[in-house]
Amino acid sequence: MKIYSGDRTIDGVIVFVNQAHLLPDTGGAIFSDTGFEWGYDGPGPRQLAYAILIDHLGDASRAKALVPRFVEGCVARLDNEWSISSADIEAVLNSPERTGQRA
Amino acid sequence: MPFYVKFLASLLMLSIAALTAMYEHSKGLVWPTYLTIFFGAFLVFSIWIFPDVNGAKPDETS
Amino acid sequence: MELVNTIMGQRQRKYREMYRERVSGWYNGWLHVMIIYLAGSSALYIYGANTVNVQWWEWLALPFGFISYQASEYILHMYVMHRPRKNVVLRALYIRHTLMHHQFFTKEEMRFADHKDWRVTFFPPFTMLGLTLLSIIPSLAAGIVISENVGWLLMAALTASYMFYELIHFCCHIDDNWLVRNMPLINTARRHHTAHHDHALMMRVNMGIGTALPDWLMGTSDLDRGFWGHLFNGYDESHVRPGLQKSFNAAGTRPVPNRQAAERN
Repeated sequence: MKIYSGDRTIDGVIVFVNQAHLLPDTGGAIFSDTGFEWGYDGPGPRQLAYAILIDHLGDASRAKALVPRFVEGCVARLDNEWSISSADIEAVLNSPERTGQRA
Repeated sequence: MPFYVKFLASLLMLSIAALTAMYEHSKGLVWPTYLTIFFGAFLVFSIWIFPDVNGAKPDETS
Repeated sequence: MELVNTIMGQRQRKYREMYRERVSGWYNGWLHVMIIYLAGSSALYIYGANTVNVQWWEWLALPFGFISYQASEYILHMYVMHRPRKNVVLRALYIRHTLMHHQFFTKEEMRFADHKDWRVTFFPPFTMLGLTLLSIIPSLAAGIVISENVGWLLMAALTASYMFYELIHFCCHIDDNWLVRNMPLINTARRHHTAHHDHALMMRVNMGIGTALPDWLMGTSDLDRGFWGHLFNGYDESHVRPGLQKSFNAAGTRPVPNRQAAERN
């Protein structure tokens, strides 16, 4: 079971998988070359979703396909400082498709 | 803000202030001429002396 | 110095302490404000002094400039200050805003402790310089195409709008008192901006500061109200939209791993 966590610090956004840094170019910076972000749907959150899913699934193409669902179900709703587990990720990926809610 | 951005902005501000002051002088506006020179110089001076927030990367703070 | 009667959490408290340590030099909030308003007042005098025999229709440049500023403020806030960009100037705005201003001030504690905290409350002098330079382009165009008076009045409107923004934003971060609680527009801005500082909503909701109207127009408001409701809502919380997305962690939180331990490893 892995724990993914993130925080916005004065020195920049940081994301961890367990105790190790999850780097913004994990799997390649295919959604964003400006680093991770969260709390909305956009390039930064998609890059974060992609990096987390690659680490969780170990399959880049499957991770890329699941990015929109994972952003909508989790990353776009993450708080300023957050922590999610592998089980949380599985729960989001296995949940029924959410209808998009505005703001 | 990176040094080169502040430097270019300063040059631009001073140039525009000088041109505007010359224009105002040509219209016979005395006080606006002086104030325009003051405004340009004051702003440029302010951006260079304003203290930074240390710790973050130097090219990412103002 | 820190506020005594506060409900801020440990994270915010530690952040504020760290931020204050990093403000270098002789920073003085009163000097900061003096720079903004002295420069702004000088600019307004200059622009006004250059107008000659203003016609009634030329005065329309003022409300047009004000509305343009509000729109620009919304766009900048939504798409630059809350979004990391590659451009070094735009990225600096994001860092200063999302990673500093929004960590220093939260929905739980919106107040500064003293003038030393105005470093993270007011924009730096570079903003006035940048705004002046950017305003020249449309104003010069208006001055050439429409009339010289319109150009100068547009410059004045944009600069005055920025000073108005700083005043309203300052009022959003001061201690509650009779004046800000009862003054229309200001009380509305305070509630609107406090909701924006909710970490679960800050990236998407309530981006207007001088006025909530851009959020009403763009559907990014936390209120379910119309035009006049958004203008004069005051402190009323009864019209907050019930369907706002809750934070993912709201249902079940777990401790965030120890950062310092991770850094040591």
